[in-house]
Amino acid sequence: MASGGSLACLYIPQFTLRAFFPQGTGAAAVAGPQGVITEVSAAAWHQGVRPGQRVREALGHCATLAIVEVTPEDAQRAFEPVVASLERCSPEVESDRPGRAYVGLMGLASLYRGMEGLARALLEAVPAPYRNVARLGMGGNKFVTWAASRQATAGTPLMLRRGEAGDFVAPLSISILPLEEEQQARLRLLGLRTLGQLAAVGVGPLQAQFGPLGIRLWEWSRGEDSTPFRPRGHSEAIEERLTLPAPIIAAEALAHAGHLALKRAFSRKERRGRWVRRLEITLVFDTGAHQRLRIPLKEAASSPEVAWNPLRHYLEGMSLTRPIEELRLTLGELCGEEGRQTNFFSERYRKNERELDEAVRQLRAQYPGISLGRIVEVEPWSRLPERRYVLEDYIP
Amino acid sequence: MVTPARETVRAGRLHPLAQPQPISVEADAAGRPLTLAMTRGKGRGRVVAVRNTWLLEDEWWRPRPVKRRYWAVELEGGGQRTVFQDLLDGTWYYQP
Repeated sequence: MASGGSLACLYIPQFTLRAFFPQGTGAAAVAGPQGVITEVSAAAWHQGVRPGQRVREALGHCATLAIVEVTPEDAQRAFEPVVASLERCSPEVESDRPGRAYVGLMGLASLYRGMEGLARALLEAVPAPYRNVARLGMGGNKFVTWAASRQATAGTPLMLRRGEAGDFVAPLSISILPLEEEQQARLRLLGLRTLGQLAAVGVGPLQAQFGPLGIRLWEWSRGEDSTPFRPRGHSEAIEERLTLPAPIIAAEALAHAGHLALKRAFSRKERRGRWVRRLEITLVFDTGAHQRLRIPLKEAASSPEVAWNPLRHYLEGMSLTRPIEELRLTLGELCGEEGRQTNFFSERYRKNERELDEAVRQLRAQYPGISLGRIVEVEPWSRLPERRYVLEDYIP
Repeated sequence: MVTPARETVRAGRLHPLAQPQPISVEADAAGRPLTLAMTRGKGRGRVVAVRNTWLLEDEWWRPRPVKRRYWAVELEGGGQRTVFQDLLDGTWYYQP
């Protein structure tokens, strides 16, 4: 590993609060979709408002508290400009939550005249409203860079060199570990307050106490982390939003809305001439909660008719428990035009079918009561010949 | 509104095809057909060659599973038939 490590973590404390209260003054808080406070401003903190409180309880502490309800999707969308800015410095960026982005540094130091220059470039790339508060940690893995970014001061990168990670994390509190509150409490019950104390316990007892998590705890306590760095892929997407005039709960109505959104998205100018490999549907419920559905297409689709079949299959099969207020449809992984071998005779068949329908109508008119049928596949895969086909009355 | 993907099936309008028809068969001790006699006309026929034979077992999870021994035979005069014996009750059928 090079000096300064191969990975950086950019951390913007209280990102959501800063993004949705850019003026940054007064008692303010961010609440999640479940009505639980997630971030609070300093003024609100002094009034007794804390993350984890319900909105009503928070208002009880501070009647003038300004609260904005933000879904994780909205917060991540607000963080997108920061991620896009970092991607101008490095092609490899991963953001697993709003306010935190990991940046791959492999091979970039020489372009920026060393790690210091690279760190400076990353901090300068952060958009203006957050630049003064952005913190940067550099190291060899995700956990260590995250820990370093938490310890770094705004505007000054903290670089961990090879072999320094274990000593660096030892005095840190266990609260830095990516654990549920219940697991944190369990560690505290065992008298473990710092990562150094955790490392001293040893891998065997930790594994006996925590199972598979024990190994990870031991790794983290030594400044190691096997979590892979997964930079996001780069592909263009087109999003179409449909705000429904009235909340819908019927699957049929949802399918109708989905079809409309699909047709609108496909008719967008930026889609023209390109095919779509993936669909993504996000349903926004009346509570503000989101449900995302990713539908990979077996074959790239060039028209809404082709993409509609798999989408309809998903939408009509959904059992909705809450009314939906908004539907977002994304056409993803746009690609160049692809060829498709179509049936040379298909149009002729359709023409023949129309002619056949007309002939049947005329026959029925001429000979009322005549019996006309067509053979329909029922279970063509069946090993029993009598199960494969049935004769159906011909209805034009 | 979107048209439902599955239309209502009216039982009276569907006629199964390739239904097995009962047939009288004389067979040897090994179960190999020697003569066929169709119950609905078509007369008798002596088997001159067995083209193929196979065992079909299916739907073993149902109260009445399917267990058949199929024979593809050639009759005197060149006609070809596929017949099977239901191995659960021993009856013979012509399979169209």
